[in-house]
Amino acid sequence: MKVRVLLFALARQLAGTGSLEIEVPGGACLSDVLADLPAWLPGARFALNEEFAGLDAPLSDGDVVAVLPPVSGG
Amino acid sequence: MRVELTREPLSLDEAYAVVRSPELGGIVVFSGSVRDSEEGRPLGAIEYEAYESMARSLLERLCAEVESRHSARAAVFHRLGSVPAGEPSVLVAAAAAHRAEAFAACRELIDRLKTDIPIWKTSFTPAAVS
Repeated sequence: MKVRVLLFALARQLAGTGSLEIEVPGGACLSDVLADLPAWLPGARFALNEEFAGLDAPLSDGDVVAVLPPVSGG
Repeated sequence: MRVELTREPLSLDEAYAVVRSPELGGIVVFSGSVRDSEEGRPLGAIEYEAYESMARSLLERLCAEVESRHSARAAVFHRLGSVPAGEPSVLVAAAAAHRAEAFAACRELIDRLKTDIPIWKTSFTPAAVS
């Protein structure tokens, strides 16, 4: 399955890119894509197709995942 | 309701105008501006970035909830890109029949924007900006 990963703010700086395309096996969930990343970004949240999602969220082909460091708008 | 993410300077007049309606007697506009210092250090500008499509859809959902809960009309304008010290980065407006609901709606909008919307800031010193 192909999944796009978007990274913002500090996540983008750490990864060196704002967007990646990743190949994952069928039945994979969010934590399979992100691996160690949550350890590098305490307080980060994740989105799946523009909705907040937990690490146990199952993935489908064409999904868009986002890594969202603690927000600071407003 | 109205939600806008823009790189242009924000307009207080526009925020007020989009929520006003003849039957709504109370209008509250909150303006959040970039201060000229942060933790004792001079601040030149703040750069805002967003996961724009997600921020827009979550803000629309937030406005709809607030409008329903407070019988109000709501609007949120957030600036993206570089915002110089002294200028507003966010305008939140709410109109309701009476002041209690207008204040409550406006408060809820800005409080929830600051915790749940995918927008991030980076601060820059005056030297960095010039």
